[in-house]
Amino acid sequence: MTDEIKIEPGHEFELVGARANMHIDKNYASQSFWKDVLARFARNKGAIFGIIMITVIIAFAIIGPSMNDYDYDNVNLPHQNLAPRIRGLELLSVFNGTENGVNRYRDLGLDDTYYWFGTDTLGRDQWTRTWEGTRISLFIAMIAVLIDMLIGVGYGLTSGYFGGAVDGAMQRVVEILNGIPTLIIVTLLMLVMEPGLRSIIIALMLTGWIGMSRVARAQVLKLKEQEYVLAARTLGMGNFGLIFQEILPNIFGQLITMSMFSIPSAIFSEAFLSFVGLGVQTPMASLGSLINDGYKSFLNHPYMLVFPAAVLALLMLSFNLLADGLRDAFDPKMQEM
Amino acid sequence: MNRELVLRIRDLYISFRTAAGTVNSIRGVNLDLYRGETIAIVGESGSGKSVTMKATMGILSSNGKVNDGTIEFYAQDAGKPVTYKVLEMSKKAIRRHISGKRIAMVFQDPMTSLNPTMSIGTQLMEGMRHHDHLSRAEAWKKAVELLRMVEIPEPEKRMRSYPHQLSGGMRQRVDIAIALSCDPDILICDEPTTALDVTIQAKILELIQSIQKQRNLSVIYITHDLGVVSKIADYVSVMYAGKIVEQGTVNEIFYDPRHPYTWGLLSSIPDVTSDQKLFTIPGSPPNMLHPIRGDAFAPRNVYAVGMDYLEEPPMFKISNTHYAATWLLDKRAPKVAMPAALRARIDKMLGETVQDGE
Amino acid sequence: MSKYVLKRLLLAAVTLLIIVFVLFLMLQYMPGSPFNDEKLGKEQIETLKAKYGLDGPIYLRFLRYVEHMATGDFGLSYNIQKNVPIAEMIRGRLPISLRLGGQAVLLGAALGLLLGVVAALRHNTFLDTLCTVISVIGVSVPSFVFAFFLLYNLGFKAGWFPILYKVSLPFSSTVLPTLALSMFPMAQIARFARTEMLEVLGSDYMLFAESKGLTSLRLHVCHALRNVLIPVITVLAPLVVNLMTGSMVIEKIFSVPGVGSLLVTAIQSNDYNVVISLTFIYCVMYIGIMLVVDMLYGVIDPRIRLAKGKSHD
Repeated sequence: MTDEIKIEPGHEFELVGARANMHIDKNYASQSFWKDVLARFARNKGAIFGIIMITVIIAFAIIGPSMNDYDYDNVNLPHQNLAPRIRGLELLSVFNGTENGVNRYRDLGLDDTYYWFGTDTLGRDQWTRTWEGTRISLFIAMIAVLIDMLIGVGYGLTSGYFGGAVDGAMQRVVEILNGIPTLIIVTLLMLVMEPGLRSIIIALMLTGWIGMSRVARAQVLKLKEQEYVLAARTLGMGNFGLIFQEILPNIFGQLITMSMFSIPSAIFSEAFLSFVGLGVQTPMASLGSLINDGYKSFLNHPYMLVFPAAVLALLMLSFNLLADGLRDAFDPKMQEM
Repeated sequence: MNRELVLRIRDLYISFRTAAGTVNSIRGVNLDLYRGETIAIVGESGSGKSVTMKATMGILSSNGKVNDGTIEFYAQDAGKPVTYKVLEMSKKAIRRHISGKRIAMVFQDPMTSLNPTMSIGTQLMEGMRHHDHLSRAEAWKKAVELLRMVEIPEPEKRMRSYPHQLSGGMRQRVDIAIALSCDPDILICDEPTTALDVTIQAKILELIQSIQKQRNLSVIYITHDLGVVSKIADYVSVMYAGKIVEQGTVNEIFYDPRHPYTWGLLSSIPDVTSDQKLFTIPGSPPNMLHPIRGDAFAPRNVYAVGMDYLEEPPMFKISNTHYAATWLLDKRAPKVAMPAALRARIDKMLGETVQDGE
Repeated sequence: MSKYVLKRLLLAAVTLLIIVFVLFLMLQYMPGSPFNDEKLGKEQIETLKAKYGLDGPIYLRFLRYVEHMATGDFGLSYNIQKNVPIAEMIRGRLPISLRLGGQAVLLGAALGLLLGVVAALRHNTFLDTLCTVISVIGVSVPSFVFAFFLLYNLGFKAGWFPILYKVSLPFSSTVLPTLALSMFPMAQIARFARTEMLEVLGSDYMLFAESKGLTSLRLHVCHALRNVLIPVITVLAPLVVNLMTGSMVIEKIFSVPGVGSLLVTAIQSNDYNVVISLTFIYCVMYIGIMLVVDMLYGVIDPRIRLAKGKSHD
């Protein structure tokens, strides 16, 4: 309010005139687009929780396996089926090494041995295996996003930008591909190829990009007719330039959101396949295969299942929250006024 | 003159809670509506015209709050006079006694005011069946009559149509029919013709006027189009930034405006006969998030005096029906006349009216 | 309207044909296929092929294959139950899976709609946040995690419901699997219903209806809900996919003798015939349901139903 008018007493009724400039700047503070997005995102408690959780899980995935001395494939039969035990947290009944009242650590004279998440039927340390498995799930997630971006966005952009017959043909293909449930395609593929990490990735590559291409195409169609694109074109910009310099930056937000959504879907696909037996093979572990192994002894030793399942659930939840938060941050629907 | 007061609004203050803070939307509005008469509320977008009327009908949005004031509606219930203090009534009571039944509203955009999944007939009949307890057959008959009255061809067939099958003009007529279906005392029209073609506009205005005469309806017309105002209003209230800055009969406002904002509005009407530049009021309306000191119009007012920046001007009386809130009417203020261009225009209009009168 | 229908039918038929073609190719040329089995000698392969009518020029083989698929003659199981007609295996299991899936959808839809609508009506209150939290969890956490949770707590520890499917307890032994399977549909529908309801509640026509003085009940049920249901139906189609994959896992966990667990077993034991037959069945179901939903959508939304209507001026 620095532009206050100085009115001297006694002169109140002299014509002063308009200060039209005063209000124009005071009215609505402008903010850059990205600042707005960031502000909205920060306000979303769910999204913040998601990001924190993801960071924590990634951190553990990186340093977890090296935090204790066990390897993920150390078969140690005498140590099989041991309950989780963490030094210092023994007051929590989950982590004191007992199961159904029986403390097998004591029975076996292993007073100095601690398996933080317990061991599986072959005596392998679950802590290390869980975090190794998380690494694989995250790795798959990243590949999935990359593929989505490259193939999906490329396909959608091309189809939408060129329109006409090109668009028509490309969309027919997508429609047919869409008519086949993804997991069926993946399952069939897995039959043909040997199960394992490589085949999972190839399978996801063939199916995961469709959703992204749809979004990219829809956005391109929307923006194609905008005036700044026309302006750039009249200035002589070629097709390639138009796509990458004018259109792409404006749909960036949507693309990021969609890719964040495709991560939990990819993680789930891998977990599902592993659970069904088509995923990574032993001794390698992924969250899904750990759940599959744990499931077999589930009723007797629930902890074998609980930890990988919890990590999986948290991972998917966090990415979904993050993606939700991003979507709301980029495209808020103002419900109040 | 047998003027019967129908609606009285006094000292209305309304604010809205938003993510950015509290917006003081209405800052003291007074309004009197008499039976059979038409008041036009004029102002820029955001001046608060619709908000005032929504508060009268109890359909203010949930983040809005009435901080002060009274709204009283005077009606007859089985021959006996009844006073409804709208702001003190519960939402349920308002819905039962007032909305649709006594006070009805026609909205601005006919393309979105009808429910796309319900037939025209159902939407027309539901008010009557709810308020007047008509049977389906009776409601159907009355609905067809209403459609006929608003000049919709083949009304029986239209009863079964869906909104998307009708054009904008038709839909607006349906809206009017719905509003009138329970024989209300007051009809509020919120810019009913803004979204329509100019030719259809004229027809709708005529329709409203003829219905008003037939039923002795009181009408409140919300608009920013002064051309419309000149055709249909008896009284005009000019609103700016949540307050009424000038009010009077339509002749007083058009031929003897006193508030600089009104001068600005009148000057902005494009005049095809003259070759002058199009006039605009410089600047933009204030952001109601911030408290306003003095006259809200002052920063855009070429004729502002020092006092305008210090204290809000009260309503000065010009005649029994004409009031304006500007310090220019204070005894101590310099004598300021309306802009020359406007004066010329008004004189020309007066000349023409005199000529027509002869 | 009929042009719309015809187009969808055509697309569905073409898709199905392409799928059958792909399956056919896989059966012929897959490395693990019984017809490519390295263990068998060339003559044995020929006999095998003749037995299945898979000799002769390729287009003839394909046609015969299509005929078999269309009439439900899926051949014999190779190693799950040797030489048992697959059609018979499926016939016993399909109704169980359909029932489970149907229950899950109904439960999910009913609860989801309720949750979403209530959350919208109590927007920005604790209830709204609670509903949102529940739906995010329901959508993100995989169904098998829910299954384990329910199995352990309600089935094993508390003993309220049987943990394995028993034919003798057709209702109570499907409670847990139905619950687990319905979490995702419920959460997804709840999210969608909430968003749609919020949008509807803020629309002009709701305001207009409110200004008519109608009761809350009428406003919400007759005006709002009708508009909410239309987009919610569109969510149903993708949910079908989720149900199909979900059922594979859930049936395995709860030992439900349905087509899902059969598929899992077939995959794990490399019984290609069964896998391919079931894949075909799934595709047919999927395409069929998509078609039905498309039609339903056209029927319920008057804007689509009466699209041919001329605009009146």
